[in-house]
Amino acid sequence: MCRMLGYLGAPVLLEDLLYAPDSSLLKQTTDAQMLTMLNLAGFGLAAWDPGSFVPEEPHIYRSTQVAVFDRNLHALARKVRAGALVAHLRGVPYHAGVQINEQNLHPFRFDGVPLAMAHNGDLAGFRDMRYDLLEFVKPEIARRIQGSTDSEWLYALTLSALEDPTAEARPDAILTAMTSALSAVRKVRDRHGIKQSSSVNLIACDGRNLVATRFTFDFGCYGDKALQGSADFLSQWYTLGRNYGHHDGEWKMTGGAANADSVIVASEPLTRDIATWVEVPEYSALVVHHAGERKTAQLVALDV
Amino acid sequence: MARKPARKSEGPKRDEIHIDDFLDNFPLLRRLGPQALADLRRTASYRTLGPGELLFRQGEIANGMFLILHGAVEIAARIPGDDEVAVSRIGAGDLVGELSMLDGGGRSATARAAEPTGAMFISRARIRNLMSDAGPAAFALMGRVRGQVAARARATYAAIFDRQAFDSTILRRSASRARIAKARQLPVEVAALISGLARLSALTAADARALARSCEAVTAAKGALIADAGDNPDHLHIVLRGALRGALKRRRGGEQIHVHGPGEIVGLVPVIDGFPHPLRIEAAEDSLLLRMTRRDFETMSKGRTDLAIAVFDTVSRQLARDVRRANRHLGRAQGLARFNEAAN
Repeated sequence: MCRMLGYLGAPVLLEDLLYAPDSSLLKQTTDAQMLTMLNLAGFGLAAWDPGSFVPEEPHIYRSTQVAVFDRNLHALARKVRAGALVAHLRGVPYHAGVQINEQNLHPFRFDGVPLAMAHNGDLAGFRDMRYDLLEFVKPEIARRIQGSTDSEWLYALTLSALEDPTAEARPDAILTAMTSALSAVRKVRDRHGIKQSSSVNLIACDGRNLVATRFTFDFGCYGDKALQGSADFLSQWYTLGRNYGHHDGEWKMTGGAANADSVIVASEPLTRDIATWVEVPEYSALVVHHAGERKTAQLVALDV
Repeated sequence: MARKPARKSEGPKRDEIHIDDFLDNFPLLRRLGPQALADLRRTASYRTLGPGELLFRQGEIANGMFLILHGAVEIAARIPGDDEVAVSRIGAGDLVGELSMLDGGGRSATARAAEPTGAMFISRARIRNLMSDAGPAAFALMGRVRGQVAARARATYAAIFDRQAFDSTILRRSASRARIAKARQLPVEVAALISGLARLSALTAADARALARSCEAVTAAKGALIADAGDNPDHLHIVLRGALRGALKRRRGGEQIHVHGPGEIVGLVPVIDGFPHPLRIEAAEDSLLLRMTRRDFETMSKGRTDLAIAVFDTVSRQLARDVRRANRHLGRAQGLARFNEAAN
């Protein structure tokens, strides 16, 4: 089912985000606190390092290997300090019908496009819907779709709704594009009579702005099928602060909200003590803007 | 109950004198009767705290609540940014830590003595034992706990409402004139639907059938109004499919606080305390609901002991979940306000 993580703020060593906390993203491979599935189908990240060559271009790392065993990832994490990050651990149903491959890893980021995006969730009836979505995807974007996931199509729908996907977009324009993507999916669901609960939690980042959604189509609608697993609204949490590090025996940011310069968004908190984390509300988006040196964070109701 | 050998008291003798002195403040404890009271007095533990001393820390695993015998305790919560904000002050005669009593979850806030304070600890296990022995006074005590938690929920909603600085982008319009209708033609038996929901797993199959008999199955289209803020607490609803939204009414729309999915019980606070609905409740999705009258809820809560305990557990967990969510909503609003103010 996946777990993911986004970060925007003062540069932080990737190891401190991905490995160090007691419920870090990598630990969520097997020990997620808010999900009962294992996440074994690979790992991907896009990390913007201001000290790197062409800092607007992120480090990209993708591997179908189970992330906890990946030495190259760990070595990379010890070297890269990122001021922006999207990372994703892929979790899939346990059967041979699933395609485990490099093309199906998140975050998606087409060449020449600043925006990267990861998805946690699952569109019911996607096989029936897929090619009807083409109506809402620009041809030059459609030809770049390489994998078999619904997630990549959500990315393609979002890019198609941006005025110029190759240029940096304002965060509210990114949110508008993501909302258009959701509207397209809603239309095609309606056309096919798909009424099954389908989660679309997204984290999108271009190195300067971060937008995260927490949304489900037809939440709680399962027809008369027995519920499988949780009936909870798929989680998306965030925290803010400064000086991310090991404080009072815990990995967290401190300094008070008024002095905060960084935001972490994740499928679930990175620590077992969740006192400084809070949920993105259901059917909502969190938009983190740059306002010169400072950032602002806004919650926006999503109605699709 | 077999006689236990006499035990050394767990605190200094003067605390036992204190608790008897303070029993006048706790008529509900006196109603437990002499045997239960003696049992509590023997097994409860006492804490004495100097000013500033910690009673419990936010996030700690908890297994009971405290009755403040004398003095006062300050409650504070951490919010995003790691600020600590003051929540309330609890004085003699009041309960503190009662949320964990309802759901066994971690402490939702930090409690510190504001002055020299004495507190009696009552464990969750102890109260559950008393309830299983069909002790009506134990039920009465837990009823009081629920009432206090319901009052805390209202206070939190009021605190959220009082925050005038919030993003209007988070408000939602209530569009619809959609209505609720009696459910026709259910694909599956209601009792089977109830049994399939993890949140209602405290109910046996027989309990599920009893519940299905005492409720009316209704459908609500997305946007339908279930209850408006200020309405009388005539019903509560159990979500079988779909979801209900609980929102605080603002001038320009509703501020969503709760989204209740399958297995959740909605509208508990007003049904418990009898006061009007604090929130507007509407269908967030096309929903299938069980509607129960307030009277039937009260009857079911007091009926056969094992069903009453199962219903009680489920209701308690829901109430605690709602209060924790409201607390986090307030913390989120406070954190974002500080974050954004500093940027301007």
